Amino acid sequence: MTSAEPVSKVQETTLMICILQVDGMRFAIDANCVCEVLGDTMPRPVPLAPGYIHGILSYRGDILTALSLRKLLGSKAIASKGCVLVLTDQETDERFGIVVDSVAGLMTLSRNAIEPNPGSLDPQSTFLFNGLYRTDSGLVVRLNPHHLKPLQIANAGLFDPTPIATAGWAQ
Amino acid sequence: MDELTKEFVAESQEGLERMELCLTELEHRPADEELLSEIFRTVHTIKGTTSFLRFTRLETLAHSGESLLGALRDGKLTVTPELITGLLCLMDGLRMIVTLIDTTGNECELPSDNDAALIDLLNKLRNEGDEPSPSQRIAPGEEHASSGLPSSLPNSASTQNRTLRIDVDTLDSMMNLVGELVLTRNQILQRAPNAEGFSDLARRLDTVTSDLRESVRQARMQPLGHLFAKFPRMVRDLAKTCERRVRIEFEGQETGLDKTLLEAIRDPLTHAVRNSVDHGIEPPDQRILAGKPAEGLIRLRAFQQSGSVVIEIIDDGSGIPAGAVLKKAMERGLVSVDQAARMSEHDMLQLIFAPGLSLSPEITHISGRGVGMDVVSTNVQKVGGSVEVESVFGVGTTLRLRVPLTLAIVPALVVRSGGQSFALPQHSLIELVNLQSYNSDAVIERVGTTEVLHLRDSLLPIIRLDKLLQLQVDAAVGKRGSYIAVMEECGRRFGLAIDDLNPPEEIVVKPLSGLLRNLGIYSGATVLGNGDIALILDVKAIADRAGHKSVGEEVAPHRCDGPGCDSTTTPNDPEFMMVVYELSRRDAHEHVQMAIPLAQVERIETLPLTAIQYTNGRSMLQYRGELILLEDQGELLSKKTVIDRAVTSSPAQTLSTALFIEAPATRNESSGTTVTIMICQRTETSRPRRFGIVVHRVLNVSAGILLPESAELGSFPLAMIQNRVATVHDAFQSDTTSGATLQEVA
Repeated sequence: MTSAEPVSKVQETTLMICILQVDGMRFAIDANCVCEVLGDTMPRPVPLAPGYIHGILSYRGDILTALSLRKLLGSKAIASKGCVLVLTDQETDERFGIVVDSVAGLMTLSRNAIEPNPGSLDPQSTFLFNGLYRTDSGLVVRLNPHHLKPLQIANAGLFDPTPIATAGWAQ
Repeated sequence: MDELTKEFVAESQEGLERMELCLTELEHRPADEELLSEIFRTVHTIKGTTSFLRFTRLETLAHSGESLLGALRDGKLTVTPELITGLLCLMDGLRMIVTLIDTTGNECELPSDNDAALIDLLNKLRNEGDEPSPSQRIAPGEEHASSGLPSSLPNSASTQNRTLRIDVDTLDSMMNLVGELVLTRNQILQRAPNAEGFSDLARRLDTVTSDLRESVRQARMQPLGHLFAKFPRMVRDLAKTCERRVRIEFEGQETGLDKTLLEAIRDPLTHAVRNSVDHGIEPPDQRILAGKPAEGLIRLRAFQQSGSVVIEIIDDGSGIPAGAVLKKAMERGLVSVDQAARMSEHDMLQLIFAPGLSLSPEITHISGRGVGMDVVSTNVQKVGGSVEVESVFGVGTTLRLRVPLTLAIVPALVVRSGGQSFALPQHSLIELVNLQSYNSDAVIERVGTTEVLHLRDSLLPIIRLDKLLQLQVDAAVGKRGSYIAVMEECGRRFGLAIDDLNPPEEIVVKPLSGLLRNLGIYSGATVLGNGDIALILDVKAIADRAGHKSVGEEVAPHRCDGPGCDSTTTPNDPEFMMVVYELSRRDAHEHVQMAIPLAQVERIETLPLTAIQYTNGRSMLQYRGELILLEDQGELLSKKTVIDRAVTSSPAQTLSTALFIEAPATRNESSGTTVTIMICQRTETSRPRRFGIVVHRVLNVSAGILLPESAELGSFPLAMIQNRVATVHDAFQSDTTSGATLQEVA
């Protein structure tokens, strides 16, 4: 037996997740989907963009579109700076951002710890969530990274596209 | 596919492009041996290389073609239309197989694929001449010395040394890096600390960035000739189908254009040329009746003009009846009776770009659906260009496409509205009006739900950017709508009300995600010198969103009557705009107001006096690797009393918008006294020559009227600019002839 085998077995049975907080709730996203976490960032608002678009930000020479997880969850938007998770759309190689209140850290869990979505979820939550993790500190909602892409969100037709009036912006 | 095959495909495609051009030329110049040799070389090279790469199908076809060309070269055949058609078929066949190799790696889609019919045709054509002797026949696969061509061609060898194929992705990546450098440069320039020598460092970074950007831009340039090369064949085939006799001529094929833009205008240009053949050029009998030669002429003319490339498609056909265009547009409900009454002939002609409008009574497979000109207009506008048409009924038509030299870095004006920054591309900006210097209630009036601005003798519809974008406006801010940016796009002119202005910047255009692109109001975003992100406004989309109709608000064209100014131009055409500057008078504290055409000003630099060099009593400046002479009529350099209030270093184009912007002071204590120099070009010779003008300060850029020469006014040309007289720099005299008129902006 080589020393690599136990490691790969562990990788097969465990999963590293990134814990996020939005409006007092805890969410998780697979850590290998996250390129980078940008702290204390205020994306520039885009007038006339759908309300769930938080804004745009400059990231390594590209302009990324950042979604507001608060707005997608139906919570009230806040004007203060937040954390931006930079994700990559595997199909198009296009990067985009998700704005959350804060990032609590990384956690390793057993893959078996996941529970399916409750059947009573509203269509928006069913679209965004991909199960629940049971952790020592309570339930964590797993986000579906494949459904968090800006175009997917727009095409889903489940989220209010009404633009919100944008005020002045300062980085 | 291995590298050798890739190289072969690329070389063959280039060779076949040359062959296409040579074949159509050969029809007109059958005795030109050089053309025939060039065609022969292409086929011979393909054949020689394919035998090595074991593409037997391609080799067999090339061999048949080579035999036919050999008979032609040996004088056993003469050039006939049938022979040219046969050779064009050969070229098509070779191109098809090369494309197949490029896409699949194989020369056959099916094992049964062969070119027997084409080879039979080529053999038949060859047999019309003397049958070649067996010794002349060359078996496929044999490398033959009998072609009579040197194995390495003198021209191609030297060309290979000067050119290099670069992957477009590599160039894109380089351009991206240059963009980042430009942004860093902007940020350094704006955050200049007081550290000693920082100013020189920033200036050096500025120079290096500009030069690097220029080099990369040049690397991306491709001659328009690459695009033009396909037209002789296309025109020949179309002319046959339409039963016309048409000749096509080119001018300015060496004019370079960014590779991306070259691809973007490929379709519009094709549509335009097809239209010229099908609708422009009359049948031979009609032309003879009209007193024209039976053979029609289409001329493709390309030239560079102030940061843009202009491509003209000129035909000597029947022209476009402006009245008929208007009638058709009214029938389709595109123009109201009121609007029609106010339209000039030029306005009527521009209606041909409206979707679905065609004057053709019948739909053919070539044209007549009214889609072509719409495609031309839409595609050119997509890349930030513009289209216009001029036509004289019975005499001919000129279609003029104007496209920017590059897409990635553009001069822009940064404006503020609702607390946010937005970038306005310069090419759409006519002028800026500072309402703070007027009583804005008096100059802006409400007509129904629309506001209009009295600007000189015209009324300008106003769009408030904060309202349009639903920006949250702080009522406490007192500077709301302080400026009006007068914009023009597709013949529509309107005023965009904005709160504040930042100095113009060269911005690096970054694409937005598909979702934001679909909003259709932003053409991209950029990072400003202060680190903020600004959205780049799509001026056409703003006009569309605000509900501005195209026709009623069009501006009357401004026509230059002077020789050499045969074009109808928009008022913001830099050819008619003048940079106004001041020179210090030698013995007094007064200043003389001077003007020079904007098109001749390449750049305005503010430099430390130490940058000026003196040789034999003449002042000189090192600029982009060359030593240029400086004109110092006001003797500013000798007095060393240059006032620091001058514009910051910026391309001349950016000044065209700076009418009402107070030039920021750029004096930097660490660099001492500075001097403002306008780098200009004299273009009276075939090779433009740079020179510098030492100025007291640059005042603005504006359109003006050149006053007629008279003994009372003296020997210098004078211009009336914004109700003030300015002496026109003598460099202007060499570019125009007397009588040229510059018309003031309405």
